[in-house]
Amino acid sequence: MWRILIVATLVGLGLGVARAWWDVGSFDTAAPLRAFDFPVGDEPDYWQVPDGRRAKAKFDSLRFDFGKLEVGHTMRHVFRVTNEGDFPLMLAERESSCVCTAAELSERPIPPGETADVTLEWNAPADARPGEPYRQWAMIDTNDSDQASVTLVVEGKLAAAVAAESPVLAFGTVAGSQTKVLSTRVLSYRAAGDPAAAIAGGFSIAATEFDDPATAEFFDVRTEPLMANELGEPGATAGVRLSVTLKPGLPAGPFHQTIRLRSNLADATPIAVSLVGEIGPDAFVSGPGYSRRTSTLNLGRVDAGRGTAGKGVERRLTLVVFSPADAAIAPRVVESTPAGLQAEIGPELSERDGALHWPLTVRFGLPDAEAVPAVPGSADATEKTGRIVLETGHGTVKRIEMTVKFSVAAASAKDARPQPNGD
Amino acid sequence: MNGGQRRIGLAAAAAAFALMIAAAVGWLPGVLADGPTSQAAQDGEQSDAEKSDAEKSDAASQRREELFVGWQPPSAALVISGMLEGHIEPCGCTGLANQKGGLMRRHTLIKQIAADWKCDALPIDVGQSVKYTGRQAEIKFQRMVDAYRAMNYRAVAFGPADLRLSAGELYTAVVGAGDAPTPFVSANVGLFAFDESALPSFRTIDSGGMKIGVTSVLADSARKEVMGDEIKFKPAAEALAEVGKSLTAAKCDVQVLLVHGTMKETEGLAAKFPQFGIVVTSGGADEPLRRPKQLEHGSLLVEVGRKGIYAGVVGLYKSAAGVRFRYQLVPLDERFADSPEIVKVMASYQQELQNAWEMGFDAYGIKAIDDSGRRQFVGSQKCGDCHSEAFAVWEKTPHAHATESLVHPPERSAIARNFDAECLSCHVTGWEPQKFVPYASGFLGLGKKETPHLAGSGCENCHGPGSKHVAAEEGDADDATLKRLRAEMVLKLDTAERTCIKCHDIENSPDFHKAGAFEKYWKKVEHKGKD
Repeated sequence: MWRILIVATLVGLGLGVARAWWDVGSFDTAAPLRAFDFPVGDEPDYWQVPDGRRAKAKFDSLRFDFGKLEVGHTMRHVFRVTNEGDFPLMLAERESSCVCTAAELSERPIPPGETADVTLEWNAPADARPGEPYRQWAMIDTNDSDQASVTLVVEGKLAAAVAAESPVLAFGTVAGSQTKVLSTRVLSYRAAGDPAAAIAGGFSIAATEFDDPATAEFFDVRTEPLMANELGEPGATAGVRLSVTLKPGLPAGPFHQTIRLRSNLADATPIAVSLVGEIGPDAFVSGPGYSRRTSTLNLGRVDAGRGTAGKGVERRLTLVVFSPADAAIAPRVVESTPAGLQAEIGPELSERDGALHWPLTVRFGLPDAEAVPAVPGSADATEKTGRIVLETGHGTVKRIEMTVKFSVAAASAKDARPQPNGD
Repeated sequence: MNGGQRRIGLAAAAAAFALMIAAAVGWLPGVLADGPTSQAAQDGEQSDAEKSDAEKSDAASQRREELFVGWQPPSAALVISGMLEGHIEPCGCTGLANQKGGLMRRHTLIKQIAADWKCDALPIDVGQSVKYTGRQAEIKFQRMVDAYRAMNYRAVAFGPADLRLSAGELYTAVVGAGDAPTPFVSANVGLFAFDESALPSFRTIDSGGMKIGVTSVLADSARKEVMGDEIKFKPAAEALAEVGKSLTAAKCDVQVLLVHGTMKETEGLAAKFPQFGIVVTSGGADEPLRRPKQLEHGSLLVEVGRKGIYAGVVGLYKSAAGVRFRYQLVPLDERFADSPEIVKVMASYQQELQNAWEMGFDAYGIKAIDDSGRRQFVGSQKCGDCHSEAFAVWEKTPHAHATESLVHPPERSAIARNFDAECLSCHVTGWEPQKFVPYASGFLGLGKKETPHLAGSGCENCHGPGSKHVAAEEGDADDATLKRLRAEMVLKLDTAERTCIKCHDIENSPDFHKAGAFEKYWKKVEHKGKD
């Protein structure tokens, strides 16, 4: 009998150790247990308030207006809470609006009549927008039966010593041989009386640096001081106009450059202005429904049908050609298929930003559009395709081949498209 | 009971006793380490910081603020959003349970409102769907418009970043090719021209026995951020004066104005056009007001915050006396399951990125940074040839598996992200983290003919490309050259944080920004130079 008992005990111990090992791992690898997993002495659970008693949380304020917070800086505020009840007050952070708002508070009970601190610390991320309101909050749980949770709010306005009016200069699609200039204002918001703003010779940009040195040579940066009446922003005390010239020569495709600007305000954080855009061809088509990426014009639905003169569709596009002003350029349409698809250039010609602009009108008004062959491989028989070819007259971009897509609505179909202004 | 039965009984009792002992011993540690800690101990790969996040998340989800307490079903509900800035979903870098926002959760909220209250949920958005320009942003915008259509958005405004997209692509996405109306409205923006049939200036919605009028404007300050002549503008106030007349003529019960502009501009427009009972602004704090501000003339001013973390729900209650409002700011946390419809949109977005990737960087709109003639990337395995101890540490860190976590994401695992440049830039070796572009010698793909040796966030992401250092060590460089090139690879601890933070930014690695976090994180990857 004893032998059985001993064997059973040993087997049991073995199984138990194996299970424990499986659950927790060896003593070396087991995760450390947190202090609060263990009961703290015989301290009662103060979150359970007995009948007839009350923990009463009295905060000195629930909202703190800090005025101005400079972007990238950190601030702290101490909210004071007094227990005006007759039972220990407990506090616990439930959640905060953002990890950039941290609440520090005592996890120990606050005896009746005593006061404790709840500290909120917050910082404005570097990409925050100066001039805009800033607000964060932390929600604190209490064992006060009348206010199970309390929300503490800090708010104010974001400020910056120096800021660019437009932190992004978007050049859009620029032709390879085009020169394009964009500008923005870089403004100082330092008060005139601020010693940091007292600079001999006034506010200026002391240094500029490009993030990508490989393409820096294609950008020229120029600054010129602004007069007081040119600042244009409330609170701005000085500023410069920053002009960036994109020069010809950048290879085709997207570009993304960043200029880091350091002003002569000693303690001001440097600012960044992004330059984004794409170098495209010297001749291109632009307009509603036309994708330059796929050279496809989408006409949408064409109303047409057998024996009826459908409404058809018309799109006004623009053909843009960058070329020396004295060059004799005469673009023309050399192909438009199928029958019923028409393309017409001009006749008006305008010149803007070193480019020649012609109106390009595309129409499709075939009475019997259903006769147009469907797109090969398309499951939708109403999907049709056409083609327009232009000769641009430009030296290098000689032709533009456009695919035209449209779908044909049945003649009897009522216009199913809802009215633009109503559901 | 005979002898055999007795033996069986004894054996059974012994077995039961053994099990009791086993239970007592085996369960003891479980009792001590009950809850998340014991669970975490079973997961050998989970770091201390992750355990802590999981614990916090568990606790937080049990204590989230209850929503819509005391609400009666409204006649209709506006679901207000905006300033998504490309955050189509929370990145998941710190675990989805710890991050709010995303279109998948937003759609679930919209569907729940409609189902639970049996009323129309009317989503409207104040714009800035994307943040960047370029091909990926265009693809993302197109897919977001697909999502707006799937969610039945009734009005979407433009932000300046939306209008910086290539105008032709923008037009195609906004107007669409089918019969469905565009979800966009704008009183003062035209795409190539002002054309009501392509982009209406306002919209009226019949719902819950009410007529609700909605319009949007791009305020003058935001307009300055859009260059080029393909996008047409009217001054905001002038355009609203015109559209306001149409809305008045339409006899709307409620008029809603979406203003993409600063708080000051919004308040100015709201005061000038008091006919708008609800005014939504893109201005205001990152953290929106929990209750709308009531303006002097009585309109409600609703903020949306940033990154689509919240949705504001305005319950509209139609009564004989007019329309009353109730408001709830809803954090889009893990309580809202992923909407399958938007998961599909997300999958199609990643598929399109993969298609573009396979067509080449031109189709993707990426231009690799030319690093020819400069130091180039060689891969961590090469570093490990000499720095074997440091390499052994790296191999055990999440950095080594960073690319794998995109191929097989631990959450939302059906959708791989390894063709998403915005993810890749911090999950592979040899990319510019904040610009989403590779160096020419950086990671180009996992295929055998590509650069699998640059998978993971390797040594060179912090120490810089190693080609010259390796060539010198393997060649016959003089001592001075060796010394100089070795020095170039050194990353000193006191400046390392500035490098880490390029990927461990506030958005993707918020815990890295807590006091003392760098020291904790460093402990997990701590290594020395050469063996």
